[in-house]
Amino acid sequence: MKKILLFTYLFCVALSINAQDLVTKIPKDAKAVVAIKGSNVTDLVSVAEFENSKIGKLFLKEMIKETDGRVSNINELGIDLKRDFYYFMISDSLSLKHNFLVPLKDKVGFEKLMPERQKKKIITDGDLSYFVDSYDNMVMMWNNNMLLMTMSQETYSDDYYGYNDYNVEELTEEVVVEAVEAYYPIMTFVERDHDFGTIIQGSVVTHSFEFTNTGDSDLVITDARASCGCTVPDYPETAISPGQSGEITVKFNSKNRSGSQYKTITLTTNTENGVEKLTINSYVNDEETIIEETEIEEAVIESTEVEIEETVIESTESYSNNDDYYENLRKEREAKKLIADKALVAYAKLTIQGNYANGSILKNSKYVKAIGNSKDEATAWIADLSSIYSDLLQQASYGLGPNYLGLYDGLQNFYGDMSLTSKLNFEKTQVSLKTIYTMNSDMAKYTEAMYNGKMNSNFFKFFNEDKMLGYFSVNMSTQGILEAYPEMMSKMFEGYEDDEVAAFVPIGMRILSLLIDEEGAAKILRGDMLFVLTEMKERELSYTTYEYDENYEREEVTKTKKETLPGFLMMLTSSEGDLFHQLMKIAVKESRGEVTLNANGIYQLNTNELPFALNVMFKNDAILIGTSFEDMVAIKNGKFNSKVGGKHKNLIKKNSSAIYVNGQEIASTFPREIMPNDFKEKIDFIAENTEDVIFKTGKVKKNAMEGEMILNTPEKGHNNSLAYFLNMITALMD
Amino acid sequence: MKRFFNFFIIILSLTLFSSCFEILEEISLNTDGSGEMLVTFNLSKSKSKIASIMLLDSVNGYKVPSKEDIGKALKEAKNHLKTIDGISNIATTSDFDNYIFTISCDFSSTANLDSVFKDLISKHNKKSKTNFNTTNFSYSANSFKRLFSYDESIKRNFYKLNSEDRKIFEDANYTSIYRFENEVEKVTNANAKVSPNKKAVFLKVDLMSLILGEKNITNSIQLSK
Repeated sequence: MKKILLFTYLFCVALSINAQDLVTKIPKDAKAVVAIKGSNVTDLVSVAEFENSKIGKLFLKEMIKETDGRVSNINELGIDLKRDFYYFMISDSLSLKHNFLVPLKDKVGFEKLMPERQKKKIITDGDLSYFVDSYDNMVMMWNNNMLLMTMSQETYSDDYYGYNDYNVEELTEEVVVEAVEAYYPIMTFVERDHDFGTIIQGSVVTHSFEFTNTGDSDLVITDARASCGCTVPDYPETAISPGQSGEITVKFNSKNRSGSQYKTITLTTNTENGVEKLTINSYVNDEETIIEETEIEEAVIESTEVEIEETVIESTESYSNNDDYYENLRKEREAKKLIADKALVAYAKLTIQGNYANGSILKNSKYVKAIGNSKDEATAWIADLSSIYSDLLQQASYGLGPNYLGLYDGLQNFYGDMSLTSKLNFEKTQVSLKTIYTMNSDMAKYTEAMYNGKMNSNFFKFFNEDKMLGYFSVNMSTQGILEAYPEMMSKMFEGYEDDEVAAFVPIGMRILSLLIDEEGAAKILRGDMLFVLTEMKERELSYTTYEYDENYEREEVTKTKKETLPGFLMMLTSSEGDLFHQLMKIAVKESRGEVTLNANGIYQLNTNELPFALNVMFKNDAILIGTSFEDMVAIKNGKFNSKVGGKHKNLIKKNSSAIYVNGQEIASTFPREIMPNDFKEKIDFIAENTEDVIFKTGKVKKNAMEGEMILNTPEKGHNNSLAYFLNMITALMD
Repeated sequence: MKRFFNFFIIILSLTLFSSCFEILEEISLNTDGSGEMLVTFNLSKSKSKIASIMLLDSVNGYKVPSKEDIGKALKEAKNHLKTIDGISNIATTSDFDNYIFTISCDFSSTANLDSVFKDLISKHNKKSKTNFNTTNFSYSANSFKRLFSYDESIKRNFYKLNSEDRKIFEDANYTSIYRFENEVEKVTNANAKVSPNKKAVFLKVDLMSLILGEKNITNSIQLSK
């Protein structure tokens, strides 16, 4: 039997020590969750490696400074970097609550971080420690296993400092009285005044004022001040539970004092008034009859000080009716605040327990499906944007209800069921940030139509991937946009209650869709476009300046200088070749020589309004606009040496848009002469250590659209992509 | 799409194209104190940059003037000169291919030129208490003076600009050429050069050292009688 008991005990201890993943503290209905996988991160870069990096050293230096040397390395922080960190948000119609969950190894390290002033505010409750920051609606609560920080953000328009609470006033009065009675600690003193009698000048006298907390909640004294430096009060720094007693010790030093002395001690407390006052009197008998003038002066000043204080007290006592009103308002607010604080603490306690009736977020199939069991270092998930909007709209529509004018229904049509997932992943040689929008079928239908463009394969005949710096591709469908847009607009305003608008929008949109011949428009520009940055080319540029003869008569001369210009080729699909040629003919005729038709059938645009000359032509159902005349001629004659591999073909064809940046090529061809010297080394370093960057947005698949940013990092010299970042920062920081 | 191209142009103009310009101030002074003045702004060397910037509506938070705006400003300057006594024969030229702009006029005395600047200064210096001198030119007893008092506020205002904007002045210079009927006997500015025929004085200063107060364009030119 004893063994079983011991076993159970050890099991429980093991459970609490070998603490479970903090994800179980997140309720199932959380609206947003961000997770940082501690172990995945520390596997890539160890704490020691981080501490030795330049940024790590800076971080440590700052930490040592901030904590006055109490914490000198990351381990001492008491944070368990092997476990996962979370942020989650929950919302209801009144507020949004932002929560941060941090795994702790023990609370000692964490508490070390806090300044003494802060430590005084800590309230302990069993193994839990916490403090409340009323001003920021924040509670921080921790035990040996974890830290929770909760911030409550009100969305309900209960403006504490506004003037719109007249109708609340009467209602709340009873609540206030109750709340005050229930929640304020009450400080009951045996005596509030003490008379030391006649004392000899130079002597130091001490008195203790005893008190009992006769209220229903913890009493916290945060400060005690006397009206004179000669009086030093001392107060208990820990919270006094209901029923418990304590004392305020007051030391009075009569050095350089004489005659009647009257001093006030003001305590800052969490009682109803916020302050409590105590007084001491004495008569100081100076044996030396000669009093220095300065002393008299001091005494005079002191007596006036006391007088002023007395008057203030009097005036507070004789509040006029008007003042009473504000006083009540203030009390009301404070009471509300107190209730809110209480609720926040209760909420935090529940969260740390994490025993939810509906289970944790792990029971939320949408979350589990979206995040999966990935090896990502960080993930973010936002559930159902429409429900967050509806909570926010309730506030925005001034209490008229969330469905003001039926606008919300329209939003629901669009954003209902829409969620967003992001995953940050550091691999051996790449970093990727993936974002997935999941939308409802209506939205998906329109989005799919718009982005369902088809990339013109002929584009791949017109550029060479070995000679490019990057590209930007867009794969939209003009026809899809023109068809989906009017439908989308009428859908959005379907539930709109304003008759005129409701009637007009669908009709207007219908007319629009009748007027535009979607297919015809798509023939002119199909919607797919590819912009390739082909080169950085030095060219000679002539400019005008002056030379002066020996008599300083000026002469205008033309000189040349070298300038680096980017070269590009832009490709657009159009099947209206005839229309193109007709338009260009007009351009040639009307442009007064700026547009010319070359013998090769290439239109040249040469204008000072552009820093480069442009060549335009129509070839294989594509309009080509580019800076290189030679390339254009080669393309025209079918002699262009093109080369595009599968990687880029897929990237361009399979995505609705893609941006590719060949970082290495750009950094190595970047014109160095215009750079300051100290910058050149950095550019060289970047050129050596940069691969490429890809941003892509996929097409709509199964109601989801995926965007991804991939940064490829070089293998040589860097353990992995996270280490790469630290190395880059170390190299570039100075 | 438009955003993409705007971004593209901004990257171009901020990284690749150098920006430099020259200001030329030429005065031919007759013995009676009358003469001609020609001021030239030559931005030809940075025409790629200007051409690409002018494709945008604004850059670095500044509105980019259009051709029309520039034409209008020149016209306003011309109209302003017309209102000043002693100023005649005002002409402006603008060349948008090379970005060269000039404004020229005849004056009957250097005091007329001063009143041009006086008006401009009082117009633009209402709030800041910059200590600009309002006498820029004087001519008496065969002595021609170009006055310029440097004020610390120039440097202060310059450093208020962000470093990108400051770069504009890095490669800019200011040239003044004064021509006379009589021979030049003496010049006070050490950087000024006198022509072999002694009838012209030439002074070229990079704008940066002028702004930072390292060099000065003040010059007192003594002419023979």
